[in-house]
Amino acid sequence: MQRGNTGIAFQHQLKTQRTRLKMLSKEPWLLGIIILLFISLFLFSVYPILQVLKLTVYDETGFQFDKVAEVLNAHFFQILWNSLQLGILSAVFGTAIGFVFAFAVTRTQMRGKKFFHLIAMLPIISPPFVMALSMILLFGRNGMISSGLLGIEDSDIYGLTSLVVIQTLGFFPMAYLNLRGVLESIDGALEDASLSLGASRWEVFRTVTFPLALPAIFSSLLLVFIKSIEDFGNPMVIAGDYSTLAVQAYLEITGMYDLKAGAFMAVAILFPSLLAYMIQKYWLSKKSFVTVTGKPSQASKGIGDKRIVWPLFAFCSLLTGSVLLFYGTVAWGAFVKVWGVNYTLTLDHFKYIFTLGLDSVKNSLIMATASTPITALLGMLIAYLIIRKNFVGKKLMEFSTILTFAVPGTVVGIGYVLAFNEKPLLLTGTAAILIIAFTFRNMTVGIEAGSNSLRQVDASIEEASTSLGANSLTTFWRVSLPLMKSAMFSGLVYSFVRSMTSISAVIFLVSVNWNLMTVSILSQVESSRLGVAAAYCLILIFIILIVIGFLELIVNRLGSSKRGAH
Amino acid sequence: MKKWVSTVGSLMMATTLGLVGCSSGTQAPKQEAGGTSQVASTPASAAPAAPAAPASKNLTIYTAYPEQEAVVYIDEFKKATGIEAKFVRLSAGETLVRLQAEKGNPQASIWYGGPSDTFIAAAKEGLLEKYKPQNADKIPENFQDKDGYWSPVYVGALGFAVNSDWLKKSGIPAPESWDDLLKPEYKGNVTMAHPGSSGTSYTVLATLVQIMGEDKAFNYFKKLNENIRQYTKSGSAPAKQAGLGETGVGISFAHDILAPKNEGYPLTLSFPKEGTGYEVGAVALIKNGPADEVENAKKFIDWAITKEAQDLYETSKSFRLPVNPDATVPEGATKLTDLKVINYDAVWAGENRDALVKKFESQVRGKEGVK
Amino acid sequence: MALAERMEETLSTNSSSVSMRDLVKTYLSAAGEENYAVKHFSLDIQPGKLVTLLGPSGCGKTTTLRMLAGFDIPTSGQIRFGQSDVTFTPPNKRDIGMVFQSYALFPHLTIYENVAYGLQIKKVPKEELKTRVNRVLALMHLEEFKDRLPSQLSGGQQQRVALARAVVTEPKVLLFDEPLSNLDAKLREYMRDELRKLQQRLGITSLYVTHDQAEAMAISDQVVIMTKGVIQQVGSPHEIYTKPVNHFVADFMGKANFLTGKIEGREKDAWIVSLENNRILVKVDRNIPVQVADAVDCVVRPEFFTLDEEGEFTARLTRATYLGTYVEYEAVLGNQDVTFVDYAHHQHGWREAGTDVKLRLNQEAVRIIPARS
Repeated sequence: MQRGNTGIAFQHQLKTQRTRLKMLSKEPWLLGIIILLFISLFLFSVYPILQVLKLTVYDETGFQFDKVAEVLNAHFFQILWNSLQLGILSAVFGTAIGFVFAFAVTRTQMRGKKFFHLIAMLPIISPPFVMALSMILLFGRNGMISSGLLGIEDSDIYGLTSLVVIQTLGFFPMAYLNLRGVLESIDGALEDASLSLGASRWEVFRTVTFPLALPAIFSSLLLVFIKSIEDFGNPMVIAGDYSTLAVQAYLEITGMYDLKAGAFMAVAILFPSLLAYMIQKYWLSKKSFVTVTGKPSQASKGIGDKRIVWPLFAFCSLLTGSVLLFYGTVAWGAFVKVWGVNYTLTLDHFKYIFTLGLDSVKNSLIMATASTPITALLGMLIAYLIIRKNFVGKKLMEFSTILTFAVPGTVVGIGYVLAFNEKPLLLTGTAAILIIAFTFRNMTVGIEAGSNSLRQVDASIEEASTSLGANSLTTFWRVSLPLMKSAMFSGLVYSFVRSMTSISAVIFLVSVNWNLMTVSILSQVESSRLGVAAAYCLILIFIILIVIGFLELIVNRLGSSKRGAH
Repeated sequence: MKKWVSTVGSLMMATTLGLVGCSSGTQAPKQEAGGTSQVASTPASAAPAAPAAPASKNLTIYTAYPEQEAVVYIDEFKKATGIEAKFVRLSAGETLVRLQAEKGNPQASIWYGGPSDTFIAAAKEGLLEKYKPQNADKIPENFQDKDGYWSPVYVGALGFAVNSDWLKKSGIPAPESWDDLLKPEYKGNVTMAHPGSSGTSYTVLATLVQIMGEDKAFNYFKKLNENIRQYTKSGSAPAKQAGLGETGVGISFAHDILAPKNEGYPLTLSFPKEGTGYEVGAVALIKNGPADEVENAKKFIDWAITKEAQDLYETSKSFRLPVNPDATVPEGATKLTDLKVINYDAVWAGENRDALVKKFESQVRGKEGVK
Repeated sequence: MALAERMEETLSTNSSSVSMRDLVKTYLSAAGEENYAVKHFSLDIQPGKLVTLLGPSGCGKTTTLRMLAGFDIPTSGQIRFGQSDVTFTPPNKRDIGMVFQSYALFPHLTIYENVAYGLQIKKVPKEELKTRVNRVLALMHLEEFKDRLPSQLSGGQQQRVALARAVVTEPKVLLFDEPLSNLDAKLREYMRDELRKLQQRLGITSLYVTHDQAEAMAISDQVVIMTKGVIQQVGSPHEIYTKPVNHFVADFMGKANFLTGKIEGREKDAWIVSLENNRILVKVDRNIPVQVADAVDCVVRPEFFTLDEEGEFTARLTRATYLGTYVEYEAVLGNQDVTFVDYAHHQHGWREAGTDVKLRLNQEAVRIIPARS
């Protein structure tokens, strides 16, 4: 680019932005919300992380980069590489499985779709450590399957493979939730059209379905990748000698009491995540994926061809089997005396929870219930703004939403304490800090799902609403949101479940009045009371399943409230 | 529909700016208390007799004890004093970080439980307030903090967690010395945490250096490395893995071994006859904690070192060894006097930590664990 | 009774004039250069008139429409509805009705809800809303579908819903973005006539965007021919067809032969043009900047030639195509290719390719434009 052009480009940008601002000022509500979002995103996403970053490079004497230099050695790059390897593997497997599930559930006439739908969501309910412990009990040296069934003498499950298995199993629901909405809203007529033109099923899939799902596939890869390298609970138990950045950061802080080094490592996880994020955004910005037009056609019935349905059914069943195996192990563990050793049935673990631990269950439920609708709605709103509106700093907004999602929970927890422990922003000790942390940390999945859905919707549908006199917010509420129903559901489920199960951020934010269930679970695991931990998990699963059913009911009513009113 | 829109609108308002507003509203009484503390705490530490602030019945505790254990102790304290003590449960390392982050305005006044090295680190960071509890003289001097920042509440010795089923199956006796662990029959069956990531494991390293001298100790670890199944991340993991049969022998603190044993896991606990190191569990007053709680916090520390408090290690089945000589040693735990413990030099251990860990990483096993 | 007549009884209008002054819309190219989507566009639309923007894709017609709707904001220039400046008025405050190429129906709402949407937003009282929506639905023959979802309707029905939704709010200005391009040919013709009648009876000021010249001719009071962001010519369909000002307009609006000739002189208000060994007289048009001795292109529509034994031109046929109503011939005149049509082929009979024919030129109708440089 020539220098002259840069000047023209700059002036052009300046003028465009000025016009946008001017137009925005004509919609004071929208402007207000955008400003409010900027303020809160800065406060609750950017500022806490900056605080942690500051901690690592700044002290009374000014900027100090000694610690950074000390951390950036060969060992650091080795574990960074470990993390990347893990992240990529889990992302690919998790997304692939999520896609197959989503495809089977939304676009075929496979039997048992409802059941598979439920199963595909079950693994997001993976409370800290418990899945990894299941793995040990099933496939470890004394494992029920490895030693009991297969007679393997000395199985060593610690390491990358187990980690990938567990993470894939635990994170594929994220991909599933993200992809489901998108696959669902691909206009069946598009597929039917190519079929009628003589394309084979495979060609239709390759040339129509798959390319249209690409943005969601990429964003699923991104989400799983980020969660995988940020994950701390699973590698802590099952990684063995395989160090990852998230675990190393935690140990640096809590084992070596080196907060600076640990915090730096934890923040460093941001870089690969943000890089992946930017690649994805860049790629997306160059394409169009509209499939929901304002001239809708009949929904197609879905694929009934047995040669396609049966392999899908087999695959889904196999995965369902694995999921159930893991959760079954947990469920069983809740009812036996000593998980892994003494299989006498007992209700003692539940008795303990109902006498001592019910408060924390109640607290968790309150926090999750409070943060879930806010998280999902904010997610949808931000997705709408990002995809549909033009305003100064939009990229910045988009970018900041991913920050708290991409760093390990420990960083979020420490950052929140650093940021909100003193007046005028004193929030520590309150329920608010937990709700806010949940909201801003879990929003990303809703935003991604929402953006993916909205990208498929022809913008003129919203323009039609505007031309009929509706302002942007009314349009969002009455037109866009109902069209993002499925994404909304994903956002709600993810946010609720993560609020109920998150631990590493929460550990720094719980207070005497607001202790949470996961903190109790963690404590039980640490003192080898796996039965109680399992019982907690079972209660957790029970609660979450009820809530998911409830959410499904609500979301399905969204936007159709007026039916039959005249 | 209209209502919906306005409800959602107000909800969103509430979450963003609103929350900041209302939360500081609910915090108001606490803030005022916090505000006075800056002024009041200085005379309070100078003249402990004068009440610092309008005394309340509240006490907030960060504890590293597992939940079910903490409940036992703290309930008993409540019964004994009538003080409304409440706790948040975090691991010792997490507590340290939380205190560092909360430094300007700590949310708790007591840190209860967790190894003394975290307390030493906290004292160095200026996070603790000196306090000498009543009857502190009763406690053996070698467990005490010379600077008086923290007070000892229990002792845990390093021991071997041995899976009894594995012993039976392979027909070998439980190890009784550090040297036993080098025997070929233990090959691939010894698990310890990595000293670079775990305080427990660093205690192992420092203990052996103190027993054998540095060169011999490192020779020992190099040989031991041949028998090691896995270097775990956390200090209690070796005991847990031994309990689940994932390894034959795990090196951990006795209370970390006895807890799963007590839950029913097939474990045998043994101690090395050459002598063993230990950790001291501590309690301390958090600097600048809520002002209205200072007096209650001091009462808590006084209570924590009494025989009554330390007798509870039996009730809680935690198998921690009381430091109060009058307290009852839990059944199944070995008395400190019956145990060959070395005169563990915690100060020396703390000072040499970085150097020893680095040496371990370069000569024995690096953290990256390339297999 | 035709749809539009009944419509008239249903809806009152508050349509206003539209004026666009010197509109410019630029965009940034990938190379960082400022390009024009619309360049110095000025146009007035009288109240109640329908003006069509006609041009190939990428000519800036849609951008202009979107600026009028408020979806795009001009880089410079001014837009007025009546007396009020709406250049920076958000679309929802402009009181427009818009029919989209993709219809843009709300897929999650029933037909009734789709049509009622605009009135709900405008907070029209319940009873009135019900009456108005039901009346419009009845007019559009959509009553029986009112509880269905858009996906359960045919394309033509969806189109009618889109139209009903746009007019039910009685907008000041109606905007059409290639609304018929998704219909099959027959339905398209029917709908375009209905649409024109409706618009005329309602007297709603309308801007219509299309790339189909036949459609533009059939429905417009005025046609605006655009290319590369610039207006080429504005006029009634007849003016544009008969008096094109340049090659682009002549070519885009109907078929045209461009026959090269030379201005020999002037006789009163006509140019004397030599064309293939003949001299013809062409009326002087002040808008066409030519002078004596200029090379010019004569715009000759295919129907300007008639087969006539007395004709002044001789041409050799190269191809004949029978099209029912007429026969289309391709021929070489001198050394220039021409196309002409014969509507009276049942009198003249069929002429084979390869034969010579005599042609008479309707000189009155011929226009000249400067020759391509």
